[in-house]
Amino acid sequence: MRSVLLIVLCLAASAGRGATLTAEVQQADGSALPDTVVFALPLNGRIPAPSEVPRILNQDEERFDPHVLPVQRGGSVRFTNEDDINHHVYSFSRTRRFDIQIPAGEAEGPIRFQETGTVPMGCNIHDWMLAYIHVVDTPWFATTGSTGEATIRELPPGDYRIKIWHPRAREELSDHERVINMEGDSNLTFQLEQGLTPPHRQDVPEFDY
Amino acid sequence: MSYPVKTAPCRGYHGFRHLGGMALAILLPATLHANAGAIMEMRLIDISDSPGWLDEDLGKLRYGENDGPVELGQAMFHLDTGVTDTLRFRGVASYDTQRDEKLDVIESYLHWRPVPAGGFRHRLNAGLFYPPFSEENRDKAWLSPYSYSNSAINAWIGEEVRTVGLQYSLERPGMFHRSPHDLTFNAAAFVGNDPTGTLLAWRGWSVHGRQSGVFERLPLPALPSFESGGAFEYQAQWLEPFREIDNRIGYYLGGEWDYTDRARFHLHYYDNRGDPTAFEVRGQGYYNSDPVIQYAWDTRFWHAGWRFKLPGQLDLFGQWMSGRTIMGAGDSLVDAEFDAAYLMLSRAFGDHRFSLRLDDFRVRDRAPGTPQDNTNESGDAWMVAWRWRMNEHWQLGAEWLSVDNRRPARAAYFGDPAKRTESLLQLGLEWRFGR
Repeated sequence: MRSVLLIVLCLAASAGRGATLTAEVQQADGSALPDTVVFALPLNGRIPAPSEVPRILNQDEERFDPHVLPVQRGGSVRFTNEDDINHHVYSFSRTRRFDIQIPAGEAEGPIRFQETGTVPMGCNIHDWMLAYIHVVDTPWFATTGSTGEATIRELPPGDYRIKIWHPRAREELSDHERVINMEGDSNLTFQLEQGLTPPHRQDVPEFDY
Repeated sequence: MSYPVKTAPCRGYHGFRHLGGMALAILLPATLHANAGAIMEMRLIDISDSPGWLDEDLGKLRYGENDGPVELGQAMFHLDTGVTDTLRFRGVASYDTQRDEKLDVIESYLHWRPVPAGGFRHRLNAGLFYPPFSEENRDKAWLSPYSYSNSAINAWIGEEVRTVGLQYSLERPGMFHRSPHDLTFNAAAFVGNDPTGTLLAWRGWSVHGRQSGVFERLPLPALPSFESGGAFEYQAQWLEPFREIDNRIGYYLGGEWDYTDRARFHLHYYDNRGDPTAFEVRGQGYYNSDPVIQYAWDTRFWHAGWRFKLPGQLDLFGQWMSGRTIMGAGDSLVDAEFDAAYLMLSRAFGDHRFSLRLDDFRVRDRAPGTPQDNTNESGDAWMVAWRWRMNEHWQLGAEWLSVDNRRPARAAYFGDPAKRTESLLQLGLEWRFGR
């Protein structure tokens, strides 16, 4: 009985508290920029511990999904494989170096990320596959979808530094940082000044080799 | 004096067949997690009344007037299996009614791909495999998804060029350097391939999609220089293109450049470092005790390939090759320069793909003093093809091929017109299973 009460209280607390930040990220030409990580670093107050539930990076039709995955420092990522072929995911980044075999239809991990930074990942069987894990020092993050919008919910009241990250940004993205006070819901718009770096080779080969 | 000037030790790779069999036997149990499959394709053909090159003739096509109307186009068996996390075994075998030993090996090699430790990838192939030249043969088992015939360049690679050795590749993928450019350097060292070049000189170019088996004997045209008293009277009426004869190691070196998925260019230099005066005795004549021999040829070429994705989802690609092959010495000398190029335009409409190819080729005889051995030729070909992928297992297709060519040897030695137009209409039905 006591534990049920506790859960109800927790749910009530988490549902009721906090504001929502909606960020829109645009390219230099005004079009939407998907796959941008938007994250809010609290300027005061404690940063909650990362969730024990791993985030999921899926592999489907010989591509990573999502292409960009934010994770809180200390948190972990589980790799799932929905393809009927094996994958062999690796990263040689300084932030986190690993390689892990994921048999067809199975899941492996979790892999824990203890340092902030970017972790580009490839598949050693399918050379065109590429994804990024971006490790941030906050539980408050989101990734922009096809409309360029990202929504961070349940931000406790306070001051935050809002940052963005995109794997193909040419410019220094710290120039776009904003400091806002979250008392109620807020909207922010970011617009890049320069174009993106050209995409890398990513087509799944049309014919089998 | 037609007998070769210098002798070289006769050293074949007699153990090779057993080695390949043993490798397969060891690796087959490991195939539980393997990618394996087969591709079977039957054809209905209508051919012009000209002999095919497999009829010991100076024809350009795989089929001749006596072939058809139903032929086995391709019967390929392929296997790609992990040995360890980073080591794979890949093998291809083919069944072909146009050879004595119907079942033969096409490729058999180990492919090592260590996990990148930095922004570069290292790749190593060891065994028997195709060099990375073709822009056409991108399907499994080195088949072309575009057409049933290969361009002259890839028809020849399928006949006479197969790496028997090591190939190292160093790749700098743009994705790890925030760059749209992918750069690859390739270097290979190989044995075998000493007779490579024989067909280009004595038969000339051809246009077809047939791949030689490793242990196969390919027929040569019945040239007068092979007859008693001819400049090459002991030459066998066939060749085994992948044999080692002179114990010299050949190589190729080159690079590839890819710009995102839109453009690609590669350039390689190949030299089999053949000793043009070395030969190997492969038997005795039927009617006398004369030796039957096979020569080593010194064959080298430059090869380039390119591919562009044009607006409207059009693929434009092609290859170019220019080289020279030399065999013999003195008044028993073959010295031929060869050149070929093709351009292919291809577009898919859903499950249907349409392709158009223009080919151009020539051979120049640089040793006109050798009697009864004119190797000159020139020609061009055009091909239009339709392929329909009905589902995962079945494909239907049609191809029209026409080869215009001129080879003075036909008139000089066979009493046929030097100029010939050879054409072939093929309808294909393909069934594949596995992956």
